[in-house]
Amino acid sequence: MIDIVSGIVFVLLFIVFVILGFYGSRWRRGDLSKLKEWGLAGSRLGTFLGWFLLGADIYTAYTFIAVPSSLFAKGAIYFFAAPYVIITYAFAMWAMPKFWNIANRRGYLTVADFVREIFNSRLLAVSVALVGIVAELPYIALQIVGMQAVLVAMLHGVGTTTTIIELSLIVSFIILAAFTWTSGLRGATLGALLKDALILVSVIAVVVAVLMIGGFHSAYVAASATSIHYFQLPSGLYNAYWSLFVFSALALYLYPHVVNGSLAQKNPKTVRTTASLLPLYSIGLGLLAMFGFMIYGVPAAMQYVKSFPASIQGTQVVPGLILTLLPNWLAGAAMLGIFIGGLVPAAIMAIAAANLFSRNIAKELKPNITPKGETKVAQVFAVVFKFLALGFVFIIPATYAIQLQLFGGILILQILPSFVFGLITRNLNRRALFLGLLAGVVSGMYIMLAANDYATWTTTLVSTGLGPVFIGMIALAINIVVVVVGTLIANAMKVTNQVPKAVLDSI
Amino acid sequence: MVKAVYVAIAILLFIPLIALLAIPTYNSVNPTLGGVAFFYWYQILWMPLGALLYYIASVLWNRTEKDSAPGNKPAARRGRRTRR
Repeated sequence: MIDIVSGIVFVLLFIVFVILGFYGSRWRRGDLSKLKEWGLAGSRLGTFLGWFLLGADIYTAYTFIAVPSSLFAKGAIYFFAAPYVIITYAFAMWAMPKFWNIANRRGYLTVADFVREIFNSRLLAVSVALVGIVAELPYIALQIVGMQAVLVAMLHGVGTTTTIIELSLIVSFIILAAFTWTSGLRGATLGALLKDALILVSVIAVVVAVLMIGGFHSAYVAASATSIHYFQLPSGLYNAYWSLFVFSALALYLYPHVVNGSLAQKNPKTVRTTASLLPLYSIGLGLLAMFGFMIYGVPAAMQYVKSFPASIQGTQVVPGLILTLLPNWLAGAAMLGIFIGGLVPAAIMAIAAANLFSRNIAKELKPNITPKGETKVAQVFAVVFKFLALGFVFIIPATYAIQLQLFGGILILQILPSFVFGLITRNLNRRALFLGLLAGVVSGMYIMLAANDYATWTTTLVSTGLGPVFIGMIALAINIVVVVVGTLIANAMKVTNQVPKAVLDSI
Repeated sequence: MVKAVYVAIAILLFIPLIALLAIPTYNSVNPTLGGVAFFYWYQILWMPLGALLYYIASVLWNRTEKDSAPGNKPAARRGRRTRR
């Protein structure tokens, strides 16, 4: 499938990308040994760059590989990603400027910093940090799956499929680790610009190509002949659909890397404007998701996809369409766009997880750590977390990679009461918040295991009296009930959080 | 006056949510657009529409809200480090 031209374009553009990454560490020079500089790009991004950085955070291998893949495998239900990446920004426009202001006033870099102070609880802060870190791991794993899918496509036919899949995984991982270490968030932002330009051009090119061959009609005919519901939801899945998109929307801005991306902007109004314009970015996601059924209209691409084992077929949908429909040079460029579309977000996520570890866990253990030491710890752990993330790659068949992100969502949703309710009220009991978090995480994980019959993970929906619904919603409901009941009990017993008055006044 | 602005902002933010929660209203193949099922193009249409409504809300909101962090330069807004 691969030919010399697309291979050369791929490699050349990758070199351009690497140069941008290194230039990034010099760009708008700051002291990179400071955590705020390495991890938040010094909080100086305006609307334009902030939009691209958050775009890079949000439109990732999830968009390019996982969503089309699951739509291909399971049908219209996985188009929930489209409403998700619209309404999440309404939530962001409210929550993020509010948090930016408080964080700026009090010098917080993370959600855990905030929780620690307003609820006066180190236990809660460390738990919030841990959940944030663990939730990032499957999301990073999803990016690695995406990078791997690109390399598998580029190397298709060079050797045996198994060798290529394994080799691709190793190469993806090494490139990722090296990239993160060198340039922190700045390099990532510049890389995001290149990636988005490449992806946008190629997505439009593919859609136009499919339109020109009348592909939508033939896709409709061919896909309708399958047993999968591609063009509308079966009525039993309405509750699954809205619970997936509403709770994914609430989860997104709880992820450490997205919070970081917001704090990296220069002021709260920029944060709000940026968020309001991000649904435009989503159009690309909507079009890409449709690749999942469009492929039925392009027999050559379908044939290519079917040449892979079922466990990774879905991940080859987008590469397959690109390689069969686009001219070689553009296909090479598009493949690189998707590759760094996994690389950049994975780096951003690892940086965010490492920031949290260094600031809210290492510092609790060793309070007299120097700022230089703090950054070093973050750099080292950014690599460690990527290794841990690799473990998740093996839990879920690549075609169902979207479940990695959804599992991360189930976990990260559990910090919602501490963080989001914390933006509104200080009157929740810290122990109740901790127990709620624990109950949410444990129940979420248990239901996830049970819903998949304790075998390979292929779903994050669980059957209830209302039909299948997203597990994240149920776990969060359990969490909130515990928080509310616990707080009522604490109030009845006149137990308070004992937050120092000086702190309350300053917030 | 200020209150009215916040009501307008809330309405602007909730319109896309309501339009997308009303799943039965758009869960159909017809009318198709260029061969694409209504289910798909309706939701994609809400992306630019959503951005437009949200952007209007954002302008209103930013205008109404007091400047709580006037200095944009990092040096001017160094938050006090609370943890040493």
